[in-house]
Amino acid sequence: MATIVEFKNYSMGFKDDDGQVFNLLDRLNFKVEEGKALGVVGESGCGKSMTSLSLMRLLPDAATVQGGEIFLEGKDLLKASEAEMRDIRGNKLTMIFQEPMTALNPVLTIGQQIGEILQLHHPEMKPDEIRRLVLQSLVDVGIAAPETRIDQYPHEFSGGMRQRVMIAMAIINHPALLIADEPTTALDVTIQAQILDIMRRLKKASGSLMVITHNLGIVAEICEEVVVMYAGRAIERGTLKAIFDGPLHPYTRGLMASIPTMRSEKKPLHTIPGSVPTVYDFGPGCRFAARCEHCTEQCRLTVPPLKRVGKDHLVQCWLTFEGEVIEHA
Amino acid sequence: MLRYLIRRIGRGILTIFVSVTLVFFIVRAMPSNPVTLMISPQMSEEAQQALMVSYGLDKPKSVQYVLYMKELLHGNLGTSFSKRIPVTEYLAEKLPWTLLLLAAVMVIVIFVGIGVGLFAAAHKGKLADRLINIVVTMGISVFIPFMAFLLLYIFAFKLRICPTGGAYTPPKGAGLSFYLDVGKHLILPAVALSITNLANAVLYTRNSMIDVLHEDYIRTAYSKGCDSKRVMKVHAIKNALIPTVTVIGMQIGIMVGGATVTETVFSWPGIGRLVYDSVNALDYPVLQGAFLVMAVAVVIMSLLTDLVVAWLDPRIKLGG
Amino acid sequence: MREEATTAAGAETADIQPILRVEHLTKLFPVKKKKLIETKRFVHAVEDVSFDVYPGETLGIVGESGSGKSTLAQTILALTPATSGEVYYDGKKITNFKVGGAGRKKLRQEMQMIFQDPYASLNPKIKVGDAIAEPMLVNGQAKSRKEAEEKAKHLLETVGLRPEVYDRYPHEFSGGQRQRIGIVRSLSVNPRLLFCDESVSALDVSVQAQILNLFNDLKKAFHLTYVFIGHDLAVIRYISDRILVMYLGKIMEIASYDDLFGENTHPYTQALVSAIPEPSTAPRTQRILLEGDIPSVVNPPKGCRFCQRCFKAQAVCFEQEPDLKEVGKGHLIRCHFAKEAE
Repeated sequence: MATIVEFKNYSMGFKDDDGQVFNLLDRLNFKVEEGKALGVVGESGCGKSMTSLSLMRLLPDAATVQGGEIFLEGKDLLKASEAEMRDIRGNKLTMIFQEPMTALNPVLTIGQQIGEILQLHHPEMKPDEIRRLVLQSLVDVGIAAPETRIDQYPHEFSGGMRQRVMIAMAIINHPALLIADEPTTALDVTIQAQILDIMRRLKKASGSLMVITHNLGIVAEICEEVVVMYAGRAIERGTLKAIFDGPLHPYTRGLMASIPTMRSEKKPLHTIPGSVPTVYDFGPGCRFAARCEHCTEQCRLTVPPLKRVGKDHLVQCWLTFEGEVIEHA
Repeated sequence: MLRYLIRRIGRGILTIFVSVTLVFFIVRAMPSNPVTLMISPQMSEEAQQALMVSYGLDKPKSVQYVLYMKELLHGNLGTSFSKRIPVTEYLAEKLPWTLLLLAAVMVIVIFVGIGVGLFAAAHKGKLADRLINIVVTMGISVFIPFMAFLLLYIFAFKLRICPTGGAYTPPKGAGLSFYLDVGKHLILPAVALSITNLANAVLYTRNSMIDVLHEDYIRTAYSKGCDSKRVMKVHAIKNALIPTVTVIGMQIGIMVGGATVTETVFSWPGIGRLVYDSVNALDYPVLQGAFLVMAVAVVIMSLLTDLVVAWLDPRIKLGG
Repeated sequence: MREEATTAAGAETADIQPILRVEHLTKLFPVKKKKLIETKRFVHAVEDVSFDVYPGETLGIVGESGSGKSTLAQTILALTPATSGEVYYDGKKITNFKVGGAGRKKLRQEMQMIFQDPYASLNPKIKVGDAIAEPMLVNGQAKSRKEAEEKAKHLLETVGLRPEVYDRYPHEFSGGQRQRIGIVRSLSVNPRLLFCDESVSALDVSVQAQILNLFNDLKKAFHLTYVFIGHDLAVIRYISDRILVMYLGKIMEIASYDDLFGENTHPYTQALVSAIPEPSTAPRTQRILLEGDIPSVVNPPKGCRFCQRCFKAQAVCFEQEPDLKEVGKGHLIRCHFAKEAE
């Protein structure tokens, strides 16, 4: 199985006005395999969005890369020129954003906006050909009456329909990896179900998928692999089954237990005290230490090692687990 | 669309009607009257009375108003008191000069203003942007007559690169040399009249462009592989121009009348100057005519502005 | 305490007087006319809604955009005038809070609303302590500033904040902490009935659990009654004893916590339950996927509000609107095909 994207010891942070750098993403290591869907899970402030923007090389101005590599099909994106990156964006990598209401340009038609991606990456394509493909993509995402819809503007679409348009835009050029950043957070539940259904359907037909979300339910619905992020670190990763059926990191365990579900009993929810620290409050050791019930002196002072606890399961924690092998110190 | 146009034109006509009515009575509320201005001691009571009758000023104001409106419907704006020629003819002679001046201002405001605004937005926070900001702030706060005199002093009297006034060097010629001569005369008034509008245009374009560049859809455009030039051209400019056009359009409509000071300082033979002269001469029909032209101009500009904005912004439905 | 609440809420409805009774409450917003000659149209935000809230229970109201769940709360609290219908509090009519001056003040104090973003309702220039103390002084819960401060600090500790918070400004706090401050401010005037409108929606998962537990603890400690409004059925079901499901301004179902799990529920409720992505690797049961968008509330469908998207819809559903039928004890369903309990 080919690896599409690999983060290797990737670190980034933010520069404040005095030029001091505060590290956010700390030595990220994970892969997205061909044809697989990876879920990146975490609460706000965990660096999920920065991970996807790092991959697209669209980080905000204040952000700065501190080291490591990000490979796309074996090529280090951090060493690519801006022109090469433009060639990759919209071609190898496409993205769906959280807010379908604002992610589309209000003064351009849906057809123009979807077609632009082909215009940019296939300059040889004739307008007729582009229009035909755009119409097909609208059919693929379940938009009725595509011949009318293609010439309409975003304001004539509902939130759910706009997100379908975003998906059409993201799949029309058959990317190697589609990144979906909180694709359904802004939508109603029944509409979210529709969008998830489309993504599940398209996943079978297309390349790899990276879903960034705070919603563990969405990950369970469409992903095979999971990375749990906390305060800029990938504290646990592995297959969906490994993580959901046997979470090991105290944060992952706490997170799973604190979600009320339709199956949960009517007893007090498990809680994790406190909240996610900001980039300025990270300690020298484990970033979850202050909220962890198993916290020791060691946790507070030293970054925990990354341990392999199974074939498909890694965890970054000082606790001792059965069969653990230190992967990185 | 047609319904919208009909409604807009109807509303425009109403606006013009109200403005004509107001002007009619305001003009007559000015102290003194045109006849007393012309009275010479030799003139007899009868002669004065005859003059009043010939001007139609002997009748009650309400009757005068009805007569005026009746004539107006037939396209007759009356006869100038001072020049003794039909007002329409008089205005027709002046209007092209004002339109020429306005066209020059529009070109400056649209091309320079939007261009500089976009440039400043693209270089936000850099030295060029900060310099532009300083100049713009000055441009907005400057007192136009002062600026007009300053320009006149520097470029006409000191440097002698521009003529001191008028629209051309008499006698009125023809051909290329005449056009060049007019062009030369046009520079200073056009610049003086542009300053505030230009500054506003720069400011609006810059600020709305900066806002637009932070929108989510700009990030979407980058994620599709657009370069920053294409992002600006295809995704940002149209959105940024929507508020700018609204502001510039309204300003230019108002400027048809607002050019009085500038036209007077530079002896530009347009409507603005005409207003100045007619007030001095208490030439009611000409004043009324001039204000009618201004009202029409404002109405037309606001309609044009709305049409352009609707063309730029598909969210606006013409018909509401 | 759970058990107490359920008994209070459930069975002996005849013995226990509801703390809040809503009868045929309707709220229509006129639509701005676009054409010169046009029949007046309305947004049917809330239409003919009737329900009771019993002391000590948590009533959940769940719905998607356009369901009217927030408007319903605002209409009950007289933040927007009702078009028709009545609201009773402790058996007394309080529609639009049209009661004597002192009575209205008492209502405002006893019925409190907690919003999604308490930050928006906290003045950034006023210290947290003053924001809490002020309503206590105005409403007479505290005689002096000193007493108010003591009470406020005690309340802050009750909700898990340090008393030092009293002298700080709202912007210094995280979302979860601000929600706790918002709760303290509502509690400070001794309310009886709390309306929580999407009160945990903006919070991170781990913090949301803290606040949900806090709500449950406070209910016990302060003998509160909640009306909990939200879009997340899993959260609403967790916190509530009874759940009211709304769609396009109408009640589709009123069900107890357990009824929601049963076979006999409204098709829309079934779709909502099915739409929630479960964070588990267990194989999914049959998914119910609703077609199309949520229709506009300006021109609601003629028959059943849900007919256009319903997977069980028959011809009758498009023609005739079903009544809210009682199918079991305290279990009401608005559906032609609802099975009545034996």
